[in-house]
Amino acid sequence: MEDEYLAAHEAHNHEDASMHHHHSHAGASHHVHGHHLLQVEDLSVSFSMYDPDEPRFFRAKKKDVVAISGLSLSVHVGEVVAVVGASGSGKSLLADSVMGLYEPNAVVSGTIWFDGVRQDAASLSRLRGREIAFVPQSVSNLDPLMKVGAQVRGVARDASDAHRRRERQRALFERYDLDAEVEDMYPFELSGGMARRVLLASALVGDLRFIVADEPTPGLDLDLAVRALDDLRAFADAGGGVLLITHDIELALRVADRIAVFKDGTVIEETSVDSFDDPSKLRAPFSRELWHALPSNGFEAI
Amino acid sequence: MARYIATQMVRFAALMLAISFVVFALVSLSPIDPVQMNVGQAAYMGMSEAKRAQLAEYWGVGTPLLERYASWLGSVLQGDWGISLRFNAPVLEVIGNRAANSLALLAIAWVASGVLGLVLGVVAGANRDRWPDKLVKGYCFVLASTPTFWLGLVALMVFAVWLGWFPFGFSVPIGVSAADVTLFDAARHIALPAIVLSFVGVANIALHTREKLVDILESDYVRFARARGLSTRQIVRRHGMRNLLLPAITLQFASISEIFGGSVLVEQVFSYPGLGQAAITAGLGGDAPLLAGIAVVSAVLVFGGNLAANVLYGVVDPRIRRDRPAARRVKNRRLQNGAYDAQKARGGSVVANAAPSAYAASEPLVAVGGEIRAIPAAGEPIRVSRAVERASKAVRQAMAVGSLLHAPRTAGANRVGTLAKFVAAAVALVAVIAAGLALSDAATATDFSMKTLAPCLSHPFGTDWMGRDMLARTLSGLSTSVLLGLVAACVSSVIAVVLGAAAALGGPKVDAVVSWLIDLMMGVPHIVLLVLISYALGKGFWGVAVGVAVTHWPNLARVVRAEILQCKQSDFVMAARRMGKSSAYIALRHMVPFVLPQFIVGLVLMFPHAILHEASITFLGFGLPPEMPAIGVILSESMGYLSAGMWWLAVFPGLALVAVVMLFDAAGESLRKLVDPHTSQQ
Repeated sequence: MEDEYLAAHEAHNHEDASMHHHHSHAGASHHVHGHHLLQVEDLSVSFSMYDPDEPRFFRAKKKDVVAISGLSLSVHVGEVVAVVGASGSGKSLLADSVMGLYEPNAVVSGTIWFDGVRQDAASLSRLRGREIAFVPQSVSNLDPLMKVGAQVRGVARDASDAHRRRERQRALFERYDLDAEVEDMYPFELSGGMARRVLLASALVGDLRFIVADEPTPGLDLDLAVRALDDLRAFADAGGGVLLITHDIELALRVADRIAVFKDGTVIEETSVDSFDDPSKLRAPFSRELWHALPSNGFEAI
Repeated sequence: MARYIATQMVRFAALMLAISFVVFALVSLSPIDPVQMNVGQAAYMGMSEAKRAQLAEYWGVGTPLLERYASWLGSVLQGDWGISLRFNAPVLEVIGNRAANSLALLAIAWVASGVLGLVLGVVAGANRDRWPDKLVKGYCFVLASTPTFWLGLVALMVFAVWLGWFPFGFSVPIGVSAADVTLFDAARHIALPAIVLSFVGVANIALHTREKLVDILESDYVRFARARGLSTRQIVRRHGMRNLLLPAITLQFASISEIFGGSVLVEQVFSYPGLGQAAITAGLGGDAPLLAGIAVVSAVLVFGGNLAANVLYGVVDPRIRRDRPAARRVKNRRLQNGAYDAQKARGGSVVANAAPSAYAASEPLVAVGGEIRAIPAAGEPIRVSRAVERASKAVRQAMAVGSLLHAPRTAGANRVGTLAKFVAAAVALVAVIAAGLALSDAATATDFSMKTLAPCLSHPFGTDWMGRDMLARTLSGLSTSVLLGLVAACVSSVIAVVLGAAAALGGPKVDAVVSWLIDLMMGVPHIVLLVLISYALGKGFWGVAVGVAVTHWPNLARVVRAEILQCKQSDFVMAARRMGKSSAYIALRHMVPFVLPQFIVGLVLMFPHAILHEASITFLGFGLPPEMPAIGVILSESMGYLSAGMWWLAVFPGLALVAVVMLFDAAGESLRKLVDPHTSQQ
């Protein structure tokens, strides 16, 4: 019964940009083993706190302050999906949720599948660092008292893994124009651009299948930004999946297969980058505003 | 480095000069006449006038203070610290003899409390809000509310008197010549005082380590480490210890002052012949040269601790150890790289320059993990406490559909509950004080037919050797101690406000002076300073009241200074200034409401310290006179009856004191929670 359903699903022609699981597909989207690599459905994140608008201190009631609500998102194998939205709109919270990193006082609900298996907080935490890697935003993500090389290499399982990680770290440093002596530096000795390259290298050191990148490029000069994005692209092309979180729609259009437009704590539209060729293909008004704001379309703010 | 050493030398000299002057002035101010005190009342009466004058001249009576100080300082610098009247030997010799005992005790307690505190703090911090955390926190709060000397009394009673595991006191067996004392004997004698002192020292370092670890675990780099799949255990090992150890060791060096203060009390309880006990003997016996000498030595110890902490930071922390130029050199070389520079200069948007150049040929350096590994399916639905379920609609809804991924462990702040806690603590305290005042007559009523009764129904706390009811004495003693502590703390808070405000508003010079005053206050162990002030004022009520008032302001002054500075730089004060409001208006309408909450919290949290210090100093014999039933007096008297098995004399009053101090702590803590927007909102 289920197999039949999956077969039918596979046979379904996904390339006509038709809707399915809240989203339309890009040319490359396909369902290996009949499912998405990552699928998030109806994700909500809220924080229970006293109503800040109640002037009488002891009369205030607890209420749920919603940060993300009813968010759905999918990433296929071999695909880069960019989540685009304004800075400070809760996009980073989405990254945390996918990795099972929850604030102690947060209420998080929703269903998350990874490679066809439904996950809970505990199983997501087992995926972190093994199947899912994270590229964070700033230098504060590096331990101030630990040398950079050791931080990039991370914790090895055994001697051969340690050796492999060392080799890889060296190769990545070379690729990103980081001198060998950077290995022995402490984070405070890095410039902003160096720190970003180090963070990117940390994520790429392991053998993974999925990368969550939270604003990985600001502060990198053009050459390195392009190189970093090409690496993410190549990772996806080799059969991985990338969730790229950014406020830079130009960048997203350059590297991604599909764009998820993030607004008011939810994804309002999840569509192929091709849809941004023609505003009439975009369903949500906010997506069309984004289109109009592109430099090639005249920076029109509507 | 040479510059650093020079600066520290100058600082040391300046601080020592100031401290030695304060010490000398306090000792000299004392109305306790060293001549009478040391010759003895009877001998003094029978002395000829000429002899008296000769002695008075010897003690420097009639010479101006500064002149006497100068001559004292001169001889101290030459190695002549005077003659100890009580021990009838040069001060330096007495200090030398006793320093070995004290240093052994301090070193053991310092290391043991540091290690134990660090371990407990890490366990608590790593298991935040779970039972190990609650256990450690509870232990620390109880310990912080327990007077050191009482803990010593109880330990002495249980382990020396009842169980007989350890000797009753002193550093060597009595009646054994020094040559026959074995190391084992010495170890047996030092064990109990060292254990007590270590246990007391644990609370501070454990709580700080816990806070620090909690901060670290909330940091971005730990979040990233979690994102890379590290478990909490791995994170604590890899990142926690690294970032924790330095502040912990620094704190432990800085707490030498407190451990020394504790050792004074512990040595007194255990009759352990160290510096602390010598200081008490000197203070009680009017031995001014010895008291001054020990105070100066304790200040040197404290300064040494702080200096060690500073040096350690410089040596260990790479952010201080490593020069910044190294990083700059690398960066500069990068910028000289031509190709790199040209690329950078091209600038523009990523899209416009999308065509990759030289690096396009290079292999992408990425690897996608191999075959699909087994991933466990979603486990059991997570369990949520009833309180959390009640507090959040989102939790209830998600549970109904079975899609809850994460929920808070606890329901978070409860404003009404916190207020209730505060009110309950305050009511209990008022009840204790009222009962104590009402029972003040019963507390001194003697009834020899009822003497030395163990606790029974009519006398729940028992009676003492004069048949006085211990319950009435305890309550009355508590109210005396609490009221004295309250008044002294309030006076201290006034000093704190004046100095804190002056430091924040009076410009950099005043700020420097105030911060120097704080350094001065912190430069001598609290208990030693209290002994000195009390001695200067001739002991008794005023001695302890003024002492407690004068020594407790530094922390609150810092809070007030920081709050006022923050307020001064805030937008709303800037706006008010631009609108032409007067300084008085701004101070009254903006600064006072801004500072008041933190001030009140600081004041309430000062009460327990003040009460504990009053009890300690009274216990040592420098505080309230024996005819006043203060807790310190009651406990001090009980010491004489320990070996007689009258345990209730020490146990109940001490427990009552701990309970009252914990009530104050609870009141202050709940008040802080209500005032702090960070904790009261969630």
